[in-house]
Amino acid sequence: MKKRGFTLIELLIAISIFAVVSIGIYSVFSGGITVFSKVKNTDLAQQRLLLNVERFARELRQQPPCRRNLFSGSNERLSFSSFLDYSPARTTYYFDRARNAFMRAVERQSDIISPEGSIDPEVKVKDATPALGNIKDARFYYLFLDLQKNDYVWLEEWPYDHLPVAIKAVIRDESREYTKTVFLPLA
Amino acid sequence: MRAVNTQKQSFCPLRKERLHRGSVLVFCLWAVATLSVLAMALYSFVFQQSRAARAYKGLVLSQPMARSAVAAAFHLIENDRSPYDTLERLTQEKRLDFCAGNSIVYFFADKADNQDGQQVVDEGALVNLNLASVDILEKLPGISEEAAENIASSRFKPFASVNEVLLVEGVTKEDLLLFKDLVTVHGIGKVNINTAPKEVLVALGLDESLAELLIRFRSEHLIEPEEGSKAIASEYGISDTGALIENMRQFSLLSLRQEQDLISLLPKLSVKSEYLRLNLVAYFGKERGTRYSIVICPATKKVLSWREF
Repeated sequence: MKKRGFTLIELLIAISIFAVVSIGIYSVFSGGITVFSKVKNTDLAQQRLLLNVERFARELRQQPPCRRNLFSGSNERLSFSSFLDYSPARTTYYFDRARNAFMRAVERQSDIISPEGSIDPEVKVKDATPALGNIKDARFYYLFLDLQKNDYVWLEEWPYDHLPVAIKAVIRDESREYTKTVFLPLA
Repeated sequence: MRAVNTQKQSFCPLRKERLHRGSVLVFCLWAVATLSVLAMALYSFVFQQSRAARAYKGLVLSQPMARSAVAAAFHLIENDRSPYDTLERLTQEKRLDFCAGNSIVYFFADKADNQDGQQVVDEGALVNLNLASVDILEKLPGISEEAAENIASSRFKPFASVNEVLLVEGVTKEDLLLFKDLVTVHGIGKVNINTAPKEVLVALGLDESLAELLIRFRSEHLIEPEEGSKAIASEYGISDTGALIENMRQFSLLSLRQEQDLISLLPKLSVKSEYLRLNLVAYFGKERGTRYSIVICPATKKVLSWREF
């Protein structure tokens, strides 16, 4: 007598084998997808941060010489001379606590210069654009050659007329802290 | 009946084998699919990392390379005993090699690519915006008579960079693009006659034919080094302004007016560039990296302007 179809046991065995195999396949797949998403999210975020900080460093290094008091530095804010579409300008970087972003504002010198030729020290930040989002904190430090101590010291404020030897930006996001030190060639 | 039966019996194992083969194929396909997903993930991870690392290496490495090239350039100028800077020497490319096949090429006169071929820009052979008079300024392309007067009497003088001329009334960005390669803000207003472009010579007050003649003269006049000074090789150019008129007379016929023009210009001419435009090109292996255009003052060993491209 011939049997047609499957017995219950055969079916159960088939289903269990299929389940084991598909769980294995799924775990391999999900592993691959996790690696994918890791590459796409975290490393892109880190690269974006590195590249944006590098752009900030490049702007700082390239600042044109200026006889007016364009450079001013505090722990939270940094202003220096720059160019905006060929015309002389002032670029300001600061940390905006409300937006959790590292902000960049550029003002044309022709808008902030007084008839006597002095510069308005107040920075108008209404046209600022975020240079770097999703960060917790950003601070600036200024390298100063202290001749009395005969040593280099990092200052939190820059009260002098000349440019500092170097500027250090410390940027903190959720997980870690990035430090970028920019040596100014003009100093 | 028996024959049919045997046929069926021989058929059955064959079908079973085929079924078995099919499942092996399906299994293999699944294995290939899962492995390729893993391989793709791994590949993209490695690719992204290596690309980012290469880009970042370029950014990080070119800074110290540029700094050492600036130091090398200062050293080169310090040991340069010759009293004149010729076009040939300033545009000569020198190379500084670092480890791992990285190198940086440096030369002193900018070779700007314009529509009419290569133009040489030497910082010491340009019209000084801070010192030039109205009649020199207005002969530059893009500067009207009114703009020249505004520049000469501007309250923003002395300018610290060429772009600051945009603060002056009557000067627009389009104008600046026309003359920005012909003007400088550094120096004491003397123009190196060995490297001065034709537009600068014309702006200084020479007529076009005399400017062209001067340019031809400096490219064909061989400077014979004095005896005893082995360090200086013979080059084409002008070695001093004092003998310029006499040498020009031997070279070509000068009209009285042309001679007078040249004589009146002599105090503004020199044969050495006080301020130099140092150009650096970084190379990582064969790959070209960042380009720098730096204005240096060899006398004080200071960097006055720093641009990266």
